[in-house]
Amino acid sequence: MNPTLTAELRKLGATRTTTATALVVGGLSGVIAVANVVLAGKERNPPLDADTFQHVVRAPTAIVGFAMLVVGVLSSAGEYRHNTIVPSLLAQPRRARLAAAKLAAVGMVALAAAMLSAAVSSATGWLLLSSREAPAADLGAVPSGLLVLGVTAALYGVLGVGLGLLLRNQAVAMTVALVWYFVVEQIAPMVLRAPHAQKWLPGGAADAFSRLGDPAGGSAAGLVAPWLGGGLLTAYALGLAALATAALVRRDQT
Amino acid sequence: MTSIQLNGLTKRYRDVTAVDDLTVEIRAGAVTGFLGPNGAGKSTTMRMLLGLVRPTAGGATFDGRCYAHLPHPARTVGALLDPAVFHLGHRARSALRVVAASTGTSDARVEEVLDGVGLGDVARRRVGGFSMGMRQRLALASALLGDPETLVLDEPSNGLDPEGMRWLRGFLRRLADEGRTVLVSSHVLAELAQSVDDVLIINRGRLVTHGSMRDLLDRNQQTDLEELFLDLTASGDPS
Repeated sequence: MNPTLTAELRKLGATRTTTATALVVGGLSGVIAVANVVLAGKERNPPLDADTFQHVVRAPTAIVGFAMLVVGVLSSAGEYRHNTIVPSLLAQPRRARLAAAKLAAVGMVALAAAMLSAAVSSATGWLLLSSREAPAADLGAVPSGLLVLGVTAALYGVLGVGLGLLLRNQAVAMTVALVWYFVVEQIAPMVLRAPHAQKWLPGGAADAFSRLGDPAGGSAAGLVAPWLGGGLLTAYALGLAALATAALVRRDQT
Repeated sequence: MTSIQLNGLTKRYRDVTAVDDLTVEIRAGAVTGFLGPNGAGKSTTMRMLLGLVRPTAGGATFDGRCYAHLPHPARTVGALLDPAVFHLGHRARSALRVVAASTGTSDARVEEVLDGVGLGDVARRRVGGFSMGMRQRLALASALLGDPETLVLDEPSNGLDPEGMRWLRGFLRRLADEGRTVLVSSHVLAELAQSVDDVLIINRGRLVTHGSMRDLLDRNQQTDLEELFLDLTASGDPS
């Protein structure tokens, strides 16, 4: 494996953040699976049916994506916080290659997190559904659910790395990520009196993409088509990554 | 045997000229002391040498190749610019293994350099619990990982205890005797005088003097490096 990529993976493996993220992703995936099955048929939740299992697998997508956004920010802005960017640049002075390795490493960790999430939610969901005489699960939509989970996690990881490399200050980058994720995407369309604008933003695009192949979801009102959502999210991630790489290449490291 | 060439090296930050048309060749097989008052441009010069800061004009090369174009940069040039370059939550061994991976160096070499700088027994401790001197040794270990032909060390004796300084002195001498190129900056001139062969002095970003320490002392009718440094940097006249 490429030495720069190996080093980036080692960095991610050596920090407590990655371990904590794995625990959070695994734990929440289990809790969400339990909630999906236990609360089925209650209040406005759909009853247990053949689609419940694939919903269980898809349900943690937003959580895993957000976790990877955080990991991405911490892995890149953290380099500036701890000044480890200096040995990184000394080992790989061709900075575009360093940025590419960082993006690839977080993408790989995101895929691993998605696999962990899918494994926990599938096992939990399968056990609970088996014990409740639920209708036989329709597994046809599970592969697209796994694709959505993995791709969304990887793209949010890339967005996090891009944001961290661009802003460098870890606290500022994390604040920007949180404010954007929880506030801007929700209120900006209302403030701008353009309620349909939300579907074109990263969160709206991710929401649209999450419905790919979902027999119960499909293309929902107020969202773009799932494939277009995936394309938009990819464009945002790659655009931010390109901007961040250009900034890294041009800046002096004083 | 790798020598360092600075050719018209210049760095300007808006109206401030940090390094001004520096041209000099630093020879292999010698320890060269890089001296200058605070703000003279030493750290900026070293950072330009290592590709961290982009020169406004001129260039810095190792046997004609700039740092970024060396086939294995971190294995050709070992650098210590700042002891605070490790994640405080990492254990010393993990921190060095990250650097080793990025340079394609084996984990066995990590153990060698940790033992070499006297940190073998504390390799499992987190860097956050290290004293300044221990972090300095760890940074030195990082610079040595690739067994480089050239070492660029900025204030390597900072935080070292007397035993550490003595070790560093012998260590630099041994490296130079092996034919390696050692460029070392320090404000501890009495200490530096015991280990350097050549002296490069800059002031306000400009070259003041460069040459064999013995020749410079004789030429300026001085007996020690501190007096020579104070004399040359007070007048600011290039010799």
